[in-house]
Amino acid sequence: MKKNRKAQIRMSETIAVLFIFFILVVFSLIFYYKYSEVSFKEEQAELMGLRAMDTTLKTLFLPELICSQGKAEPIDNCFDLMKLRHAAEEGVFNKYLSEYYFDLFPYTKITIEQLYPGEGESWVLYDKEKTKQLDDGLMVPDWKNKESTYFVVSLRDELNPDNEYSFGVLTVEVYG
Amino acid sequence: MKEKRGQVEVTFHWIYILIAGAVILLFFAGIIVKQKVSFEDKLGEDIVQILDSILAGAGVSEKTKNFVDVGGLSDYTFEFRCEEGYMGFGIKGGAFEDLPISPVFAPKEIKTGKLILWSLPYKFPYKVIDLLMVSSSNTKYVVVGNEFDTFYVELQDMTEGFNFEFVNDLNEVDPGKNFHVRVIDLKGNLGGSGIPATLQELGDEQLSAISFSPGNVVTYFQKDGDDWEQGETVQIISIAEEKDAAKYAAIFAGDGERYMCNMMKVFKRMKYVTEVYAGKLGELKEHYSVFGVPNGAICQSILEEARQSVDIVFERLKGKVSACDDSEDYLSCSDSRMTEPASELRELNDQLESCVKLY
Repeated sequence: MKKNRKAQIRMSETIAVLFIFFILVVFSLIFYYKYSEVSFKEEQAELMGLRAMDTTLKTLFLPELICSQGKAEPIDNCFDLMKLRHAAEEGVFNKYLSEYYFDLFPYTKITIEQLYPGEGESWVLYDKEKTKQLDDGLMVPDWKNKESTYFVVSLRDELNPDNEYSFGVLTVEVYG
Repeated sequence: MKEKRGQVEVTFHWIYILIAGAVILLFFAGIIVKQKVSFEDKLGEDIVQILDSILAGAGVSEKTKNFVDVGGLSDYTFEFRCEEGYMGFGIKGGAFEDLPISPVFAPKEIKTGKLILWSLPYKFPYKVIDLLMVSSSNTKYVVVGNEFDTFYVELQDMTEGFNFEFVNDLNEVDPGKNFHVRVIDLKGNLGGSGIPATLQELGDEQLSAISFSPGNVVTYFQKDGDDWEQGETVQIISIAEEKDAAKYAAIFAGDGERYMCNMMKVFKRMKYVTEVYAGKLGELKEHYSVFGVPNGAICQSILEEARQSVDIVFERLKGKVSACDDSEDYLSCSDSRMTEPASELRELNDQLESCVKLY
């Protein structure tokens, strides 16, 4: 009787040790999973920020928009309104999206707004939102985060010598 | 009997501990191995991503040279490729980043602690795109040419900071401990000569050459034992009178195939940039056609009447650029039909002195 009881106690001990061991393993796995999830999200946010900066930089130096000066260096952070108007009105960037510009600006919206002087005119140069198609054929947005960067630029309108330069803001929204 | 039972119990107990220990050990060893593999993959991807950011930044900083210390990556060999379906760069045998639209002119392989990046604008006649040259502190360029030659003098000025050596005779060259040596022959007589004794100790992949010939033509060579194996001969398509980005790109490109592949990216972009300039031209013409605009008559006459009208020149250029892009074939772009309308457009733009210029 005494021997049986001793064996039962030892058995319970072993089960308790195993139980605690597996509880620790499960806790460690949950902790690791949560940590990986958080660090993955942080990394994604960092990458989106980097992509937004890269896209802004690329936009600022676009030969399609920059203020050229013949053989001299182009003017920094300046867009030529004649080129800008044509690119926006004809939708050049979206027209050649699949052929070329998607590789330059994936899932991005690029807007330029004239601030002063002017009538607050705004041009959407490029817009490619991340979307998905539902079973019923409806297209819905397929992004969770949006990173926006703003950059002050000058806008040159050579056809208006009295007010050749104006201020504007370049907005780059990156979908992730 | 009781003793024997005890012995079996103790043995069984130890076997049980051993199996349980082995299972636990295997479990953690498995996690470690998996983590190691995923860490190595991630490291490769991170490295390529960082380099991609560096290239993106350097690609738009016009005419600037960037010296990037990548000492931590000096164990990795980076390869740059440009061929159908495989345009980009990456770690040899590892992560790879696509560069489908950015023209990057680099040696086939780089293994270095210091990258040198140089961006030059390609103008035809307006700026089309920045060409990015990639080199390293241990990629040596040996220039053989006439010291009174204009391009030779320009090269001396422009390549400051790069590993360039200017010699009169190839036998003077010491290859040193460089990862790659590229001979640049400005005299155009490399084809007939063998490899100099001083450079013969280099491996076939370590030595390459380019030879410039009259008419803006360049021929690529690769070391093959004691001789040069001739590669592609390429026409440089450019209207630049100095600081010719397309010519510099030929110097830094790994071989003729990579050069042509990257230049096709340039022509593709040219098609879209040209379309934007066509829009600007339309607006300019409309502006000057309105009565009373200062200098309207003069500017209109230049835009409408001078030589052939700008429109015709422009349409010709657009047509050539589109045809060149659609053909996906560099050779179809490499004739004067491409460069002539661009030169004419440059002259017309120069004539628009008192008017708003096209570019």
